[in-house]
Amino acid sequence: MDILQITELVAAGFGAGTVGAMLGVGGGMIIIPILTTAFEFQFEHARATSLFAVIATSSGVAVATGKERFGNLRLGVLLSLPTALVAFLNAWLAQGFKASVLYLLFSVILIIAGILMWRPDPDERALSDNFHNGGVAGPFDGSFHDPKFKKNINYRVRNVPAIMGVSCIAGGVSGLLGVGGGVFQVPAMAILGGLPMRAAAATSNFLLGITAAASLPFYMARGQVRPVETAAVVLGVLLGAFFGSWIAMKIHGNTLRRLFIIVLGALAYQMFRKGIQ
Amino acid sequence: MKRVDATDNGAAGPRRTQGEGPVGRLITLGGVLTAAALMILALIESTRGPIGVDRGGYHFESLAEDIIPRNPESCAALACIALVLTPLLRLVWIAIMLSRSKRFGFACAAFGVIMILTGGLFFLWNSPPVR
Repeated sequence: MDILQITELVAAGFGAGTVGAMLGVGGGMIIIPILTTAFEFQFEHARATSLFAVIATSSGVAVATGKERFGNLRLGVLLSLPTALVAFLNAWLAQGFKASVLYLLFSVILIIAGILMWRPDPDERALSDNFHNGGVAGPFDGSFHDPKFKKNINYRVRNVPAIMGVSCIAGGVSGLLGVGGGVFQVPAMAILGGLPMRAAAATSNFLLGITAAASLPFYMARGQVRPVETAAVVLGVLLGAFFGSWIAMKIHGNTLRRLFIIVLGALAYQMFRKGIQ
Repeated sequence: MKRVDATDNGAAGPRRTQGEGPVGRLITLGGVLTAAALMILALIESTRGPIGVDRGGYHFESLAEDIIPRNPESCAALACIALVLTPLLRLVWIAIMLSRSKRFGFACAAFGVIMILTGGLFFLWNSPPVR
């Protein structure tokens, strides 16, 4: 591989990592279409590369924000068991799917992600302090210090079985298509579970790495990884994730989010075309 | 379920969410840095000449014959394994920590996930090569 190819792959990873970190989505939804259309990767190679990028992002964010304890570790551990199991089984089943079917499924997932992202983030203040004084603490209720509002946020977790159901769907999508699944998990935790967005995003980030690690051995065992190209993309994603986290503080999220949804629509169309070819 | 104790901020509410602690973060940081270093090494090595494997993908069983990677593909493959092992080791630490704080139910869930991940890796090493 020459310097130019490496630079192009690092740049693609950097772009995906930056946009992913700015919008709070995993890079997989961007990386897979870019790799399959611009770099002519086969779907299974792009899927494995994307899953490595998901682990790198999840681990990088955990290092950067772990001290703040935003994530709900107990909820994360509980959800990780069925989610990893579904991802593991789906990665096994994925070998029986034709690439054209996977492309079509991917375009459907992009459209669903676009619909989920269209609504703005729920008001953090409205969701953040739902723990009333004198209540009874459940096993998943949590508390963290929010640096933005400069106060401790206590929250109750509701509807754990419903969150678990959505998390299993996210795990299935991750194992089959190689995307992180955070675009499903974060709204489920925030809207169904009542977690503050910050806690939902950190808990989902914890889950993403485990889910990806559960499905990857299948792809590695079947020779569906291109390690050097993966190395270039993952390094780009890691750098992009740090840059995107920094720039996210300076740019208004909702306008950018709507622009990204248009891009998602275009990518969904590309993947749909590949699927029917 | 139990009555709520006063939290560290003095108001009624749940205790502050448990974190992974410095050891958990160190494990994750170590995994990411190891993988990143191996990836950089692989990319430097790959610019020195063509990679001697077809474009169909890497077969991880080759690592056993080349445990100290001398070619970029093996070096990058080792980085990939370091990345996959990072969440596994992180989870082992979390399970230990949950057991120590007498959260045995959650610790069992964590060990369940560890079993799934280890099972996946076992599958990786024992599956016949698919070419």
